[in-house]
Amino acid sequence: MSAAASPTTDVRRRSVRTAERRWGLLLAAPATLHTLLWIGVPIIVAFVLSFTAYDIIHAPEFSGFENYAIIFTDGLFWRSVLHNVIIAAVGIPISMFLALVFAVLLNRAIPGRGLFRVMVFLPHITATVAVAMIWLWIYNPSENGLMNVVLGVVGIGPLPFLTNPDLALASVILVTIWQGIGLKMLIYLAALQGVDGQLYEAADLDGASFVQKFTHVTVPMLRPATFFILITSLIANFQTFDLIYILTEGGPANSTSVVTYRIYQTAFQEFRVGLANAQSVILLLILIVLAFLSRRIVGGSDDD
Amino acid sequence: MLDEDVIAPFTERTGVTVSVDQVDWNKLNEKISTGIAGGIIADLIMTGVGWTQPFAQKGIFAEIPADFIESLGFDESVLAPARFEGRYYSLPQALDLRFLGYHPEMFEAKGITEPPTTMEELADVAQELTGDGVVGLDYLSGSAGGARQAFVFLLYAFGGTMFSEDGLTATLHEEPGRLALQWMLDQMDSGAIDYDLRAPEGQPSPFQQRKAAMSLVATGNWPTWQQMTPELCEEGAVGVFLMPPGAGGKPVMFQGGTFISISSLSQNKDAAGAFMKHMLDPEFLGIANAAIGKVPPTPDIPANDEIESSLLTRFALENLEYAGATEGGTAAYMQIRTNLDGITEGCLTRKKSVDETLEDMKSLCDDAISRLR
Amino acid sequence: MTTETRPEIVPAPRSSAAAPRTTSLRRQKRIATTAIMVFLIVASLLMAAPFLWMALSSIRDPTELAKVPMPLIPQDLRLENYTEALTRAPFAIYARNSLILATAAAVLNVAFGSACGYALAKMRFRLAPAIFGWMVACIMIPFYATVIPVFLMVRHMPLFGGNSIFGAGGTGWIDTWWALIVPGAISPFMVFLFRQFYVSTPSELIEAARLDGVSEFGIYTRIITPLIMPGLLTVALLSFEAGWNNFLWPLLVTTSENLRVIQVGISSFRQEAATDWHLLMAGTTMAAVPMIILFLIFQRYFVQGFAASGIK
Repeated sequence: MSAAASPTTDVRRRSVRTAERRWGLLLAAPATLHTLLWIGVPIIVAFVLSFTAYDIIHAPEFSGFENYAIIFTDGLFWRSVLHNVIIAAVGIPISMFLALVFAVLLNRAIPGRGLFRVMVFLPHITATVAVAMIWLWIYNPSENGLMNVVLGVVGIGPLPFLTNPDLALASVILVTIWQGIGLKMLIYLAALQGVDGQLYEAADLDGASFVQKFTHVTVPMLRPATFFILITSLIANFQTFDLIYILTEGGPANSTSVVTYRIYQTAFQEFRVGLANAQSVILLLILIVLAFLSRRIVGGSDDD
Repeated sequence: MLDEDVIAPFTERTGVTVSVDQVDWNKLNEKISTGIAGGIIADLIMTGVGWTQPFAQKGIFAEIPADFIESLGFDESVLAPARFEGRYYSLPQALDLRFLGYHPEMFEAKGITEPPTTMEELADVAQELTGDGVVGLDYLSGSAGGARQAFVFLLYAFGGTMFSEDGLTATLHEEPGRLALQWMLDQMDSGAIDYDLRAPEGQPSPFQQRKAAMSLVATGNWPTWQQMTPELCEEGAVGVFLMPPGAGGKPVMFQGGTFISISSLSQNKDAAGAFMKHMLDPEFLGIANAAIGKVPPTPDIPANDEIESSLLTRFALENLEYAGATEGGTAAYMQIRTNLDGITEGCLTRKKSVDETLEDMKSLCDDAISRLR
Repeated sequence: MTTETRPEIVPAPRSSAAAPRTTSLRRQKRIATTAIMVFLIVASLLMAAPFLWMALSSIRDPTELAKVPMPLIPQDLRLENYTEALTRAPFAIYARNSLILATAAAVLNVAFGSACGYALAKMRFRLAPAIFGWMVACIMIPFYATVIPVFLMVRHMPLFGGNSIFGAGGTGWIDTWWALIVPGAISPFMVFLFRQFYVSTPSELIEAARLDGVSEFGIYTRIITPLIMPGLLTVALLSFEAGWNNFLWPLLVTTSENLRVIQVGISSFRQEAATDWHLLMAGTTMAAVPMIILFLIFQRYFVQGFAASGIK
């Protein structure tokens, strides 16, 4: 192509580049301006308030770095961060793996495929409040608790899933895995539609096995989706709230307290909005670090 | 329910329309906070026990004239949670009172003839009733409040209080607090209380399933019993008694409930006041409470079948003067409330000793009170 | 499917020695297919079990719950739970409101989210990396950190709801459709998702279209976007679902009955004194049904090769 370069194509290419720049900005503008207004402005306000003592009723009072100083000595806040890290480290890989398995299997022509897809996606459709209440029933440490009924068949239990501080976090993780699979599967499934069928045909001609096709064709093609899922799952994990609120209220003995629950408590139960905003700022910093780390893990978002 | 039976007659009488903004109770904090921050909040707000002092101190609730309150003739025990610095900022509208219930046939089987009258007796009876897949006392399953309220109830039974009269000093960590925590731990040691026994929302409580011989019960349990285990609502199917005193004092009842306040930001204070009076009218107190299984703050209401048919409500009304175990009492309580749950659970799950727990409770309260402004 | 059948067609004209190998291959395939089916049935039942239990609970008589052991299948069906739930509150209005909210979310996110996602993925302009970073950062902000400022912005919206030009005096957008739709209209999550779908599309196609003189807007709408139809449908479905299940924000900014949404209506069955769990379960099941139907229709478009056919 470059060999054929002539003065006219150069001019043309330059005008194409200008058009690309203009249109790029134009297409990105509505969403960018909207988020700048409705998320950017509130972030600035929240950031400024993080340096104040603000109880919603009285005007905010400047307090310097006091809120941040409080956070650094607040053991419960860091314990909550740790709980999030544990939930993420255990739950996300498992649910991503299962989601990928479901997506690949349900991308094949299998009888009842639509029904299977719905069943896997159901946890995502159902309102979290109801989901959490049903899990409370499932975890009930009595004869009515489904989980203990099942374990009883195998001769284990009954286990106090949500009342034992050493068991409660694991029980919560199980629910987050279960709840997270549907959305991840859907995104993988959508991404699989974009995988060029010719690539598989070429691999078939080379005599590639199913596993080889999976590792050499499917996985690389799914890299943008994997990057997206990893980042958004990490973020979503750090924003887990309703589930914890109804399942355990962070208990017993704060053993399932998570960051967003802590932020909620500080702002809306204790009415210390300035402090809660400082906690949010810290959370944002943690997430930015994690986002960069996960970019490393997946090896970038594009084929670049 | 509220619309047709309580609001409609008011609108008819005064021409003032009332619109109800019903909020899921566990999202009430967000609703009120954003409302306050934005300066738009309902004229009349209904909150719970423990909220009055913080909101009065912050100037959100308007003062209610004392002569109006005296004209109502309510018992001192139900008015105390409505006071801040000697003035009234809210009024009880619907109470949820807690005491203990038992299965009489389980008492009979063990030859127990009378409900216990002291904390030692309660412990003995609970132990005696334990066994054969039955726990003596279901005190922590959550069907009638969480760990925090369980602690507060016992604190008052042992003659303690949460805070000093002026709300500026914590007292919950003193001797009665120690006795309350230790009592629960002792019962868990003997197996008479099982911490792992739970009653998730919508599921029957261990007491309803006869897996507990005695249980903490709340008046609000009655509609659930009627729905799920109607046999418990038959005459003589359940016995009830007040929480016995720990050290020769009076027996106690735990008081929770809905309190009405007028917003100090209200543009329609007169109409709001008129509606408050309307809701506190004996007739409408009866109607509103009957529908939801709660207890009116006074026994002087017109005859109401539904209220009289509930053993729990009847018992609570007869014993209103004992409803002294209440949460809160300090303007700093919003910052203490939920944190107290975690601290109490830490003790009950034996992550912390009783001494450490009391120390944590004290520093939580001191810290919150010191931030009052 | 094509990948599975091909090996059987290709070896067919070969020598007869290959025949036993083909049958053993076929048997292997059958065993594999059976194993996959068994796995899918068990796993998807596990995934759906809580929902199925909810659906069963929604037709259960409350007294059954207290029985030990509780019968798994309700003994007498109580459809009254549904009729009772429906008479408790004006669910027709709630459903209409949720439908409007969900449709608006789907349309706005597909229109503006895809434009931004495409620009970030495929167009080179100076601000692109910064905007992409900004979008990801936006997802990281917890709702509870910004809810009070956003609420204040809505409440002080100038010249609305009796407000002056300085946003004082009235109630702004509170209790209006504006408040329900505008602040959350474009989700940075969806922009990010669109970008990831567009990244996988072939850039050569864009270059070729440019050489053919197709306008930039035309390339975006007519050439590249059709390639990610499954992705576009995914965003539409997810946005619709988020709008349909939205709960806390509508609760905070509405006060009147005719702006209430379905999840807020359902939550009123959950009271401090006692939860009408059977009504709650009936309400939640009902609210999930439209989403299930929508998903069933939508997933039919997930057939491998759908996008590939666009390239050929």
